[in-house]
Amino acid sequence: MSIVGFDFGTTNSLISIVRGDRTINFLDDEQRPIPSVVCYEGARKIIGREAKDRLAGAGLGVQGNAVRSPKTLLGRDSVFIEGVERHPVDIVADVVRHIVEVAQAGRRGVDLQKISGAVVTIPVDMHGYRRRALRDAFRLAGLNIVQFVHEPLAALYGYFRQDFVAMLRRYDRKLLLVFDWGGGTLDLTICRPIGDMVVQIMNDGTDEVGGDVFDENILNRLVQQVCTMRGLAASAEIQPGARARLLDRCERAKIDLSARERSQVYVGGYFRGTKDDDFDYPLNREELEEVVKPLLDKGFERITQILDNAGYTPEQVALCIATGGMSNMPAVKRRLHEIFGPARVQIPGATATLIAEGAAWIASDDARLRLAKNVELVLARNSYLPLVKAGTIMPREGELQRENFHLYCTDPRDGIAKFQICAPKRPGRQVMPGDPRTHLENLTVRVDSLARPFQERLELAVSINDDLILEAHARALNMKDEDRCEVHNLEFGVAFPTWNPVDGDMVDDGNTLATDPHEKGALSLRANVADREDLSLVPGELLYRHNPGYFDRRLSPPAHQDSERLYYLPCSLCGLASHDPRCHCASLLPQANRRPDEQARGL
Amino acid sequence: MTETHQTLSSNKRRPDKPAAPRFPTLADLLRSAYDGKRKRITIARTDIESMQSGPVPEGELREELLRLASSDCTLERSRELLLLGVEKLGRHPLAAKLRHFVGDVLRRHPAYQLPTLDGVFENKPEAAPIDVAVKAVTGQAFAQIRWPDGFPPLKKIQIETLRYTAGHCLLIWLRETRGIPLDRILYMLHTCCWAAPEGRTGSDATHLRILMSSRDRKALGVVFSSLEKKANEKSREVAAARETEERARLRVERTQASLDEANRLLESEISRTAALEAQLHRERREYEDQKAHMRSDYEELRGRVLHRLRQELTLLDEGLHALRKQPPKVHVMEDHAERAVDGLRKEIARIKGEAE
Repeated sequence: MSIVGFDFGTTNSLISIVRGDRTINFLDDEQRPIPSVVCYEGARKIIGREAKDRLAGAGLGVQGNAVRSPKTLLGRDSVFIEGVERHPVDIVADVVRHIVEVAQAGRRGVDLQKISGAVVTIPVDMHGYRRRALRDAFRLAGLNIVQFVHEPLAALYGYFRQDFVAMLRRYDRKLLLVFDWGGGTLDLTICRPIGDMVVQIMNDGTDEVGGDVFDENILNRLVQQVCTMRGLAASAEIQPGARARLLDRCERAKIDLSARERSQVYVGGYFRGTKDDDFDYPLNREELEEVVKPLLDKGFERITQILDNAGYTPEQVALCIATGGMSNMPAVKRRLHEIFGPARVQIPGATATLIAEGAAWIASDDARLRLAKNVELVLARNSYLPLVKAGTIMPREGELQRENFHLYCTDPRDGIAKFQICAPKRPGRQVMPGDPRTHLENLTVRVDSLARPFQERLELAVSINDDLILEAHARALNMKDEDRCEVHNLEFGVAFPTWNPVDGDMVDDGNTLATDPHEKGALSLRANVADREDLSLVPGELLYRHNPGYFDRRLSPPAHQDSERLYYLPCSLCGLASHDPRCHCASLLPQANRRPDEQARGL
Repeated sequence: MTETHQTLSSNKRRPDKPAAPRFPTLADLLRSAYDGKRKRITIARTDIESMQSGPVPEGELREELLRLASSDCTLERSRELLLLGVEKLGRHPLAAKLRHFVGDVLRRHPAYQLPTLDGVFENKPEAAPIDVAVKAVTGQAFAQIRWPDGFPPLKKIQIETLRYTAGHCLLIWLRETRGIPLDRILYMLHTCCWAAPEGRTGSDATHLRILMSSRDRKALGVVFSSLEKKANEKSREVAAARETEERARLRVERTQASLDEANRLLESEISRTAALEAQLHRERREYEDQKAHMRSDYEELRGRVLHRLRQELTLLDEGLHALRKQPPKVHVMEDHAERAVDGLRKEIARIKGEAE
């Protein structure tokens, strides 16, 4: 039984496994990853290379009877493929099943023992519901996802793993930029090796500048140029399947132009109903770069933007690792060299397989993901309560990390308790209050605007599941209001298998509760522990349940506990909630315990 | 040689004409034993021969003799008869007849009417052990024994005599029927008859007086010689046991040393085997891994070359297609051929580089 690394990419997919001190990649007969394309012809399913050869366009999603990168469809209820309603999870499951079958049926299949699970790579910005759907699809295909890992982080792990001791020592606490510029997406992550771990500082990703978009742009430009030169309409008729062949030639020309100045793009029998039906265009490197320049600009803008957002400059980056098919493009290399300098840019030889190899190493090393940064709750007067601390080990399949926080509302005058969830930009546990934060999500619940400060009790349940999604659930106990949110764009770290302990700043000691910050907070921690047996520390309504005699008037019980008791119990005379304005029985209470509106009314 | 034989051999020295037997029949002997004034009886060879050939008392006569024997309240005469049988008759068939009769006398005697003695005379497997039986007989409350009508209560001295004779009779009976050895009889005599009650052991001076005033020197001599013999025997056994123990100890030490050595060897062999197994496992796994990697490398090379050839073939095919057009598109063929050649050259260079 083995756990494989599974790079379920937008355009291509690949299984990799570690044997001994090297990885084995399960590629097809021509050493290419398997295209994530599926084509439905009636009851027949065509998946992989054969399906890709039928594609006429480079776009993602449904194209006629084919689906390119079904991963992008995850999260939708259903899609219609030539009038047939299909579920994206089923489509993805078909592709996953095919990839496993191809790997096992190939000549290397004897080396692929029975698969017990997979470490699956995902884009950094993949939403929670899509991750859940992806897990369902893998399960449907008979493969359990042991752990998700971000694609660039897997690539970095795979790159460092060959000689990780030297690499960790060389780049200790230095800034690393890893990007995966593949056929479908550009994924970026800024990382920093801390001790034996590499931790993500910031992630970014986009599907606007994938390699397929480049091919599509080149194709459109060439078609436009040929039609202009030959005086044909842009909508001239073409032979069936000709566009798919032209797309293939464009891709080949793009590769050849990395070593040549000019490449002839030729497709025989392309047009229909013209004297010369061939597509023939001499594409040179300048023209190619002119075509792809806007896309390259857009991609590099994302690269500089992520550095800006994280508060770094390109000069601070010690190493830039470029993976994905686009990394081999001369224009990309040149631009990278311009930004970071040739010495700091590394383009690994196996750009197409590095992510799968990294995932396979993570599976082989049994490396667990850890949270890179604290997840915090903003308290009143800008203090922060760590909800989940950096270094917390992320759950694996079937596991769940859960924590409950009991809070008070300090200022309920607007009737809303506001929970702001944020994360510091700096990784690790030791974060100063003045450090910059990234806002993650907001939660709001209705509270009684007439309640005194600290009287309305709030509950915040925070959990992280095996899909690496943080779920927050806020509740107002009195008003019975609740709100939920999901955070999927968290950053993680992963440790290499060394004998040295993980850096203390990233150690998970299992205690995620912070010190009592209630002095400043609009929401403050309601501690329920005491260091002495003092009944005055017990909430009034709880104490009344256990010791009603304590509230005998003749014994002069503490006013705040008496008030608590009365607030949380229904009125003994009219049966209404104590804060209900229709209840006037509060006039029986001493003057000090009356609400302001009651006092104003002279009750 | 048994005592019976000694008696018989001593009789040979007597005159040729034997005297008439004093006890022509067993009944006469029994009557004389239980009715006569003398407690000690001696019999001659002629008596034995006569009794052997004479009838065994049965029926009315046996009952009469048993009634006569019932007058032996203290069992002294019965003990005498039993001892006579042991001394004079030995394994003679007459001894069994005599013992059988005395056994009947004992069974009828009130001192043997204890439930503990059930089956003891019959030597039944469920009967109480010998020690228990003897202790029960000697330890019973003799003063409370209910005698048949017409028998006057025993005096204190008679009771004391009965306590011993009852024990003696049972012991002699058991010796004859079960063959218990003399040292065991001595032990039981000591525990049941001779030993002083607890707390009344007395001082050395008292013991000295008792020893010096004892008139039964023979009994003391028998006991002491028996004990001495036994002590000597035990001393020899102890010495032999010590020697055996020493030899065994030396053998154990030698065996332990060789065992330790064997264990050390075994452990080293086990650890060596484990190391070899681990090495074998590791090498097998490494071999498997290496094989897998070689297969993968081969597949990678094969796939890459195949991919290159297919790509260049496609280019050349398309170039040919363009060349066959009218007018021929030579520039396409030229471009494609150049690219194909470049691609093949690049692949050759790569393969050469990898080989180096």
